[in-house]
Amino acid sequence: MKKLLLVLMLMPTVLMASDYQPAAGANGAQIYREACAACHGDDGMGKFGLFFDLSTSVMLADEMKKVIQQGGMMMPSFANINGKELDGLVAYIQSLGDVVAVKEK
Amino acid sequence: MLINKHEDPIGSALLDFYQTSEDTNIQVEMDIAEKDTLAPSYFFRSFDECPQLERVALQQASGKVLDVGAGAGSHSLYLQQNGMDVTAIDVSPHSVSVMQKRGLSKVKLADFFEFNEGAFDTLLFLMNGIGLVKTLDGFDAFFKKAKTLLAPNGQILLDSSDLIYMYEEDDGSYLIDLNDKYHGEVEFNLSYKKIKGAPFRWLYVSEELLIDAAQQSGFECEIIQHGPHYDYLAKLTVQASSPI
Ligand code: HEC
Ligand SMILES: C[S@@+](CC[C@H](N)C(=O)[O-])C[C@H]1O[C@@H](n2cnc3c(N)ncnc32)[C@H](O)[C@@H]1O
Repeated sequence: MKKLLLVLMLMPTVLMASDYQPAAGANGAQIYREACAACHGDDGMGKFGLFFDLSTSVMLADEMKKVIQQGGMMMPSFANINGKELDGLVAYIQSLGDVVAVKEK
Repeated sequence: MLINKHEDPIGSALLDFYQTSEDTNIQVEMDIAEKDTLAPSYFFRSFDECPQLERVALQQASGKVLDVGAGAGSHSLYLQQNGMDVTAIDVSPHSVSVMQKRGLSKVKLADFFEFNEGAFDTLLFLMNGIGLVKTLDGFDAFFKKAKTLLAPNGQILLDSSDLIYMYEEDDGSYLIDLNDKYHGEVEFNLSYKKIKGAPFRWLYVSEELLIDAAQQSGFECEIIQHGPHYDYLAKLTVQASSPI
């Protein structure tokens, strides 16, 4: 079965394609705070605990990169995040999951 | 019908969050969708945290306002803080007590279908509040009631969405059984900690069907804004020619 959106999109003012441009050499945490935290929350658990939870994502790095660059059903695309910055960002998101996994033990 | 206060999962969660900041999720089960959760904190959103459709609705609200199914009262509170005359009603006893504690001056524990204290210039139904009609057949009674509560030239503002996306196949086609109930009629089962609510039905309606239903009851329906995900904000007014 699919998920029904219980609440409307929180940040529809963000265009479906984002022209966000990371500073050259910005690290993953920085990019995350600037471009992602508004929807996914500071710790990746999702704002208000809703459907944006990244910390439990089972995606592989390559799949994540694709989502970030191409967007999803409601997630904007970030075509300008690529190369080193994209690698750093994905590594950062994966580290969010670890923290949660440790917490749960 | 009012909710029994021992079977009020949303209200209990809102009250806990208000009193202790405890944000334990409300568990949401639906017949047509995966189970999900809803954080009580979401009901306490500020104007800036509201989805855009809700912000537009709040800006369009005018005159004397009735916020129907107000929950934690966040929309009402915003309007009251902006000097508007707003009344909030809900069938959930604990939600009503949260609204009173938050400082809303006009709060009533009441069912929309049994509420008789009019008249209002704006009826607000946010967060798919129109769901309270339960099924497409419920619109008749809804519009009858709305007419008795609306002042001349009054408006209804509501947001909803077309659940057609729940039935989209990988190839982009839709798989719908036309003999089945309308695809936006959802059966909900909510619980919070050990508190289980009575199952209830809640309607999500497409723009086309809302417009049809409105016209049949003598209402004009204008879609004032589309959201990013099959969602929309509608404004309904009594048709000029229609006798009230
Ligand atoms: C406008 C809100 C919004 C913003 C901003 C946003 N996302 Fe998303 N994201 C979503 C939503 C909603 C989903 C759910 C899937 C969908 O849209 O189809 C999602 C899904 C994802 C997923 C897939 C998770 C999974 O397991 O399915 C990843 C990875 C992701 N986002 C990463 C990011 C990153 C990295 C950024 C910042 C560059 C970001 N998102 C910014 C809304 C957002
Ligand atoms: C999804 S919540 C929306 C809460 C609030 N409007 C918001 O946007 O945060 C729906 C609310 O409608 C209330 N409700 C359901 N049926 C109702 C009825 N017939 N009359 C009044 N309120 C009702 C529920 O108790 C619940 O608090």
